[in-house]
Amino acid sequence: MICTGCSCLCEDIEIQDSKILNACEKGYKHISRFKESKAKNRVYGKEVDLDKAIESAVEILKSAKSPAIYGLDTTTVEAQRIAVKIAEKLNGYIDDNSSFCLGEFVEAILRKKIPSATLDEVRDYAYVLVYWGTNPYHSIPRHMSKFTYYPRGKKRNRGYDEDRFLVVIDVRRSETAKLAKKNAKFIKVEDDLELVDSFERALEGKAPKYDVAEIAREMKKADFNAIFGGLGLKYGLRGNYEKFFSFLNKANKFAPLYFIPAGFHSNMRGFNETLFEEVGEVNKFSFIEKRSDPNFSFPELLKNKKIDVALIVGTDPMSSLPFDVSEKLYEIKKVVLDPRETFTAKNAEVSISSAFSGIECGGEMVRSDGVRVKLEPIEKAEIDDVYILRRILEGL
Amino acid sequence: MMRIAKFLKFEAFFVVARYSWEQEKAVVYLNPEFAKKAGIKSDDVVLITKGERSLKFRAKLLETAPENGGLIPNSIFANYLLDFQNFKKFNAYVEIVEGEESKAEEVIRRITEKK
Ligand code: SF4
Repeated sequence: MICTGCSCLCEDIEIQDSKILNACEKGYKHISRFKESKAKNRVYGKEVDLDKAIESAVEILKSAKSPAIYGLDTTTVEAQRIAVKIAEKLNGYIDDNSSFCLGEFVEAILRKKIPSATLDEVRDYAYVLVYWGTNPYHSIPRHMSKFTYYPRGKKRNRGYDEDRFLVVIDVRRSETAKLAKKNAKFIKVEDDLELVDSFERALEGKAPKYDVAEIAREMKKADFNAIFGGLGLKYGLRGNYEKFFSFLNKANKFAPLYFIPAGFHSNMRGFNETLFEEVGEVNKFSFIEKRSDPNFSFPELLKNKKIDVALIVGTDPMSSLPFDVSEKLYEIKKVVLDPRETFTAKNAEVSISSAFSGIECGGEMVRSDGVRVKLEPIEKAEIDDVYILRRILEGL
Repeated sequence: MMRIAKFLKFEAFFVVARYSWEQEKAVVYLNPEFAKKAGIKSDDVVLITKGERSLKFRAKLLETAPENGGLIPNSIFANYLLDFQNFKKFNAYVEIVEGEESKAEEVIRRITEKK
């Protein structure tokens, strides 16, 4: 089966005699606990059957003056497509976690502003591997063993301590940073923008502020290098994405350097690609204004009191958004679709119990590098996000 | 024996990160050197205060935590303290307190009280 525990979407998970094989600890928990704390169908706190819950959801959405659809990063592409149709039908907003996660990077890749590659190409060809503002040890635990550092590839068949050069950039000496020993470098970053400058200077042969000259030399030796950027990089850039994108393009004049976003929900990239196919934007989109805008991100809509109803799919904003945003969830009506009894589901006006994508239902997801993956569920639930969203759409 | 550290407040640097363990409990992983300086031992309950918001965390020691503070797993507890300007890292005060670590329901109550 495919593990949907993170954006690696590992395809080599096996279930034998009720044992889960090959998964990391995070994946093991994700798969083994899917039956725990299942959500209930509820309307205003009272348990109801599915039909009643869907009917109430439709009523609330129909009466909304300004609705938003939010989440969708752990569901399938098929469900995401229907969610986009619902947002269009409602003339509402649609957004996912990527607006405060790695959406800017995925957008730059889809608009072909920066060079990217697949993880399979990285495994076969990449020499310098830069983990920037991400600690795969915890967030994408098999990234290094399946795709990047440890595996031998077509052109990289002599083992990691000879055929890879590992660079870890972080504000602390993380578990991944501790691996940076032979043929490797750890950079403790205080200012990501200065570090971008340093890389540019080093590649041009000038003296950099950060000690990156050796990394630049190693990059120039190779015909394939890769940066895996995480949230530490995103927030470290303080909104100056263009500076980083321009660095990536300049770097490619000296040595091939590809960027792959690293560390997010299983199908965040799928949401970005689905919305991009439908409307030409990756997130924070308004169907009334027919455009994307920072003010249309779900947190901003909440903070600025721009919405009165939210259809929340497969995410728990009450737990995952900063308090000054999550406290505003109480000012709107919430329809929640989730397999789990989350805090948001418990406090929603309507909660609808769904199925775990990849475990109880199939469909398609998109890996962090853009590779499409067909899910292989171990159970076949009749009620999943696609079914519920389709019925909501029909009801509207 | 009276612990002097119980009456002291230390400024610390916190990183918020995905962490495979203990996301359901209010746990802060302190750098052992920092904890020693602040007189905090593993399993102490500490109050972390950022601006007007405070929460109680169970302290654990972790070598990979930032030198001058700690790591809080990405969770409802971290999100109670931070904002989008300080989404991945922030400075806050930490002090030893009596009692148990805060529960998620307590944070939810604070959200619902704002109703
Ligand atoms: S790395 Fe991610 S997808 Fe792979 S087994 Fe672990 S949690 Fe699942």
